[in-house]
This record gives sequence, structure tokens and C-alpha cells, in this order.
Amino acid sequence: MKAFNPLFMLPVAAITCPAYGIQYLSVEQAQQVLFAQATQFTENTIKLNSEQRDRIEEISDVRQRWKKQQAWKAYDGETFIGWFIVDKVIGKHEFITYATALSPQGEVLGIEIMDYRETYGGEVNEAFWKKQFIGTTKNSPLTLNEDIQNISGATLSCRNVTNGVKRLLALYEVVLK
Amino acid sequence: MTETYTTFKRMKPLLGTFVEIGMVSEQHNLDIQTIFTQTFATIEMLQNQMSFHDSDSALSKLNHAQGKWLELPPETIKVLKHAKQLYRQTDGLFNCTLGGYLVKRGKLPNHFDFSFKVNGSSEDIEIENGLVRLRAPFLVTLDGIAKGYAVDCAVETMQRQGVQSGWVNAGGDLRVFGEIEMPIYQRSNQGLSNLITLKQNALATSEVNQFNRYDQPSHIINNHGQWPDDCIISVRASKAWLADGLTKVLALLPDNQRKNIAERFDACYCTASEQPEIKHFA
Repeated sequence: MKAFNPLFMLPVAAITCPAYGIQYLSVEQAQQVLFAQATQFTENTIKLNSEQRDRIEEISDVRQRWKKQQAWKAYDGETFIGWFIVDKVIGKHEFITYATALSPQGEVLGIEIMDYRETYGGEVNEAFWKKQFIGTTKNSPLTLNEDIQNISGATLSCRNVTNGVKRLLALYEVVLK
Repeated sequence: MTETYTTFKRMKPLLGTFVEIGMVSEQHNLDIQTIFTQTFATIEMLQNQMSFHDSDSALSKLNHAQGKWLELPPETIKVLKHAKQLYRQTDGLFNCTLGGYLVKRGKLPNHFDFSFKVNGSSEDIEIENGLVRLRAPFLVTLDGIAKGYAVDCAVETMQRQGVQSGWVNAGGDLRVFGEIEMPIYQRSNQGLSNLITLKQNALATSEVNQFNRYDQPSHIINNHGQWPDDCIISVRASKAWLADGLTKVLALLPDNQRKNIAERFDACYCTASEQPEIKHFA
């Protein structure tokens, strides 16, 4: 039987939409990076009622859109060493999933981008696809087993992630403290 | 048979943007995790020194010193020296003393309880034996080159750890080192388009756009506080601080004078026209 190709299910516009996306870390890898000393993570999804979500917005000035927040408790043996929270922010063209590590006292221990995507609707610039690999391997002494690429352009602000972290700190105040 | 190599990449929100660090594991004895930690730490250290927004940074202390001599960290002094050098070599077009204009326009925070000038001359930044003073009450902002400098220092940190090939991209100010040839795309209103293949070089891009200048964290103005015409300009140079600084200089110049200035620094530049696929590297 032929393998099912999910691309056939997508409308044409979605296939040709120029996009740039990289997965940096899976949940497990991000946990390892942010809590290297942890021996165990227990999943602890945080459910928020509308009152709590309003309170979070009041404190942080950022709307808590999700009713559920993916979170884990990190332990070193028996000792609780902090919260590992996965969050998403959506900008004009960016879709970012990131992880934040909070200490038991609610201090930010670290932030890691897990998944970064830029998508452009509107005009499709075919050159992006056609010219993508020209000159990358022909004279290059290194053959990479994954294609690397990068974007230059007017600097994108990381304010959306900074605001996301502000929101998570308010969430800590409201439900985790 | 050609051997293949694996790349390792990580990204963090730093320097007001997203910073990606990547490396190729051509050696098996490298401690990838430690290299990432140390490289990001280098960038964070420079951010803490040279942030205008942070009122505790070394740069803010200089702006608050009101003419007194101040001991500053060697990295901040290095960037101030680069800024002065660019000022001289671009006939004053690159000017890091325009912080006052940006504060007055709400682009940079106002944490000053004294009156300051909106502009000045980089010649009035005096540097002697690790000490710095401002001879006039202007405000220094290093946003024009500090991000590029942080990229250069991050590359050096990786190289010191034994990484032979890799890259650092701080929101579009990027440098590629070693044997990698990296295709770079340029982001514009029309989307992404192929720009250049970069090897052992740095590239920076700046955009002047009257419609979204309020959304962008960076801001290019001339010595009188005026905006240049709309353009997207990318500069390739040996170092990221230089590429970063030159995008501002070239954006301020009419097209027929850009080539001359770029050649002074052994750099080349590219401006995007209305059609994103038509680009000219000079």
C-alpha cells in the first residue's frame, strides 16, 4: 500500500507559502538543557479558570489566551527544583514555541526557543524555493546531512517572548506560588 | 565517499532579538552543551554592559556620569573605539552620540534626571587607559554596532573552545566561520528571497521603512535627527560589527556615494529594489 502523504490534504496556497522553520529542541531536550541536574520530570498541566486568566492579565498586562498551560515539575531526587513551562507566542509572521525554567521561588532560570517559524502569506516568491540550494555543496568541503540556512533582514523584536515570560511570571504568582 | 557532518543549533531571546548559534560537529571530542552555554553567556555579558535600556549597564553609567572620568569594561571600551573609528572614517555619518534624539522620540527609555543634548560628536568621547568620559552632555547609544560586536565575540568564544565551523545570527547580523557555505535569505515585506552564499564573512541588514519604523527595534537617523529614504540594505564585511555599522552609514548615503564608502572598508553591499529578486551587489 502506498504511504499516505498528508501534503495532498493541504490547499495549494499552504504548500507554496514561503516559510522558514527550525526545531531547536524537543520537550525532553529543552528539559535537559534547562534543568541539567534533574533526575525526574512530572507532567503537571496547569488549568486556568477565567478569573485566574483575568488576574494574570491584570498583573502582567499580557492576555493569557490558553486555558491550559503545559508544565512539568523538575526534581533532583526527592527535591523539587523548579517549573518547566512550555509556551507559545504568535507574532505578525512568527510562531514561536519556547520553554521557561522557573525556580521554586519563581525566578527565571533560563529561556530556550524550542521551535521558531516565520510564515509569509500574500505573494509567493518562487526564487526562495528554486535558488535555495545553488552553490551550497558544490565547492563546499563539508557535506552537511541537513541543509542549513539563515535569514538576514530588519531586526525582529523578541518582545513577544519577553511579554510571554512576563505572563508566565504572573501565572506563577496566581497559581503556582 | 564524502563524510557527512551534523549541525547543532540553539536559539535564545537576547540583544532584543532572537540569537541563533550553530556549529558543525567535525570533531567528536567537543562538549557541545558547554560551548552553547559559554557562547550565550558571552552575548549576555555584552548585553548587560552595552544596553541603553538597562539603567545599570556600563553604558548607562557613562551616560549618567555627566563629564566625569569613568572606568569601563574592556569590551565596552573596544566598541566605543570602533564607533569613534567609524565616525572618523565615514566623515561623521556613523555617530553613536544621537541617543538624545531617540530618547526624545520615545524610541529609547528616558532614565535621566538632567538635561541632555540630542546630538554630539564622537570625537567628544575621550578614552584613556581604561577610563572614558564624555566632554559634552550627549547620550551614547551603541545599538548601531554592539549587536555585530556581540556576534564577533560569540564567534571568538566558539573558536577558543575548538569549534572549527559554525555561525552566529543575532536577528540578521550574522557571521559564518570555518568551512561552511551558508545560503542567506533576506526578509522583506514581500517575504523571503535568496540573497547571498556566505563563507568566512559577516553580513548585516538594515531596513528603513516609513510605514513600519514604529514597529522596529532599530532606528536609523542622521546627525540632525532626520530619517533617510526607505531602503533595505545588506552589507558583507570581514567582521560583524563593521557590517552592522556600515548598513547605517550606507542607508544614510545617496546610492551614487555608497560604493566609495563600502570600498574604504573592503566591504560590499546590496540594496533591495521594489522587486525582491532584483538585487545588486556592488
